[in-house]
Amino acid sequence: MVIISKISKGSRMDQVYLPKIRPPGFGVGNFVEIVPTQRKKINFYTHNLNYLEPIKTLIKDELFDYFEAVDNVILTGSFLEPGFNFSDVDVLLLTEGKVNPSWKKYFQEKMGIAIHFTCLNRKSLIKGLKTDPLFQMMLSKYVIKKRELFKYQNEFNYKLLDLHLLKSKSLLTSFDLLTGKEKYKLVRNLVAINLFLKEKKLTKVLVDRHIEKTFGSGVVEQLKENLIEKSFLKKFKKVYDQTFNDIMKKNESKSK
Amino acid sequence: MSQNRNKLLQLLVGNLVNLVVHRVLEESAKEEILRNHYDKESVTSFEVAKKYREKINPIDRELPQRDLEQIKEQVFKRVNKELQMRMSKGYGGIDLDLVMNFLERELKNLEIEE
Repeated sequence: MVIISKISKGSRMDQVYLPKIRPPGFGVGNFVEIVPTQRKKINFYTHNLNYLEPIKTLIKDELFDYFEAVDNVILTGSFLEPGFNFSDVDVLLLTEGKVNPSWKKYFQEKMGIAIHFTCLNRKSLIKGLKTDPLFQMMLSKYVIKKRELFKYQNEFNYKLLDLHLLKSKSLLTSFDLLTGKEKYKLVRNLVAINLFLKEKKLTKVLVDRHIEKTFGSGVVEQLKENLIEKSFLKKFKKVYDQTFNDIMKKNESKSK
Repeated sequence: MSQNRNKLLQLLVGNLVNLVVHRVLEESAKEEILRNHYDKESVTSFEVAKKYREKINPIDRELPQRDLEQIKEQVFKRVNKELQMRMSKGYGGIDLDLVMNFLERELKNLEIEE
């Protein structure tokens, strides 16, 4: 005998109500098993995204369902790029709480995918968007549980930009040992900072276009495939030094 | 083989420079968000440096004195150069006295020095 009922929200715990007149076996004090039958429709909104593959939609639904109580949930990163060339799913949880290690384990076991969780409040999110070119680029495309607009104006923090730029220096010191993907990311990082300094809007497409404009056509693919020649570093160093000087100059002009 | 070893030593030095620069800059940062970023980067640099260290013989004990002195000297010089360049351009709060402390600590953490 089966009874189908809906889970309703309670103040401290959620509950399933049963009719007073019900089949045998459902008496008060009996233990019953609750099994999901039909998923409720999960609303979501997208930003700069036209299509999400059905299998990715299932992952999205699982995540939004699991974090139903969280204020808002944002999916971003390579997961949203067409195809399945992503290593993990970036999930931003808008909450005052902290990341619970069991979440990662749960999704790894349930769906076999690695999920990178970040918890942050709205203030930190806006701060990140204002000051961090990479964060801006990451959030140029996303899927969000509840509609929300993030308004911000670029804010210049030379220490943060210098820190991000320093990351790209490892291309100069470890060129032979880096994978193609790593090389591409380090170049993308440099170019994103460069564009941020010029107060350009940052998207992955725009940054890739600018990489080709700066370093030559076909460079993005060559980097990703790890086919780029070492001579590339000469130009890279020039752009790196220029970007570093621009960061410091902006700081000087700001402190005058 | 020795050419490979020299190359690995150079790569190790490069990452140690990165690591120590981040550690010193982390100390100069007052904002929590910035300190967290520096810390995250330091951890990444440490992991990379560790990978190189594990490929350099002898792997089961500290490196010979000659290598150690060379590494120390090179890292110290390059870190100071990086930091002084920033200071000359108005980067505030950098304490150069911290360089050797952090360097010694990381050399021990990476089992390069006893």
